[in-house]
Amino acid sequence: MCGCQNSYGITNIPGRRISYGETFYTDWVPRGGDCAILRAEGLIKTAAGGSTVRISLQTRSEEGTASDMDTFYPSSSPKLLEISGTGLARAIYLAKASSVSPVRGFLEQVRAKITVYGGAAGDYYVVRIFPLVFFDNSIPAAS
Amino acid sequence: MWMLTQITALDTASVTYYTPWFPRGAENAAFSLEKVADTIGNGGVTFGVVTKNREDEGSGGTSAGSFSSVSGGFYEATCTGLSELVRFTITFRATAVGQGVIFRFLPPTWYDKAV
Repeated sequence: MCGCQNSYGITNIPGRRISYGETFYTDWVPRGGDCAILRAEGLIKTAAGGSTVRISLQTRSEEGTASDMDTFYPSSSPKLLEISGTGLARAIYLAKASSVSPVRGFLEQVRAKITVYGGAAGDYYVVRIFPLVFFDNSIPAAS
Repeated sequence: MWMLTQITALDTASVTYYTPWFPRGAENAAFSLEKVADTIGNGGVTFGVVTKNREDEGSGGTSAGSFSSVSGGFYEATCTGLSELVRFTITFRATAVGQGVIFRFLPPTWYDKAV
């Protein structure tokens, strides 16, 4: 049913302040499918210096090394979720028919990388990241 | 998550279908759907969200939002102030019998106000 929440981890950042020059990673969590929608919300913005918050995903096999992921949406650079104000933002990760580089489909584990991009000292945001909405392709994927 | 649904036009009248009601998970939500085929085209099919409380009579509820394109076949509706129950609406008007659309709804992101 639609009311279910088929989502996992990468959240439980219920509202974290991130400041100019800062980068942090979430913990690794298991994937729930090949594809996912990443949603995050800018709650508070103090960014006179013009910074934005960039949230990207990394994936790895449990025994492997982290690979940066490539989005289906946005389809142009920067291919990640970018927050420049308050409100919801989203990125879609859609697996190809087979593995490609940069990575498009999820391997065993996934985590988010959150960074304040650009700006000046004093800039900060408060953001929260929602559980990933995992799904699989419903028709043969593009190669 | 629902598996793919196909709707085929049996005539050229404007038709609205409802999904079952389901309980809200929070006051706000971002709903997603993926449309994988559409031979109706030209905006002939639209998707919406309606809401009502459990004690309210009626099938249509109150409109809580409509789906708009994100990219490719992906659509999103961001809804705030949801009541106890939620359902989706699918409205289409084909220009010829046999036209249709194939789509699926994806799991929602439920959230309450944080500030």
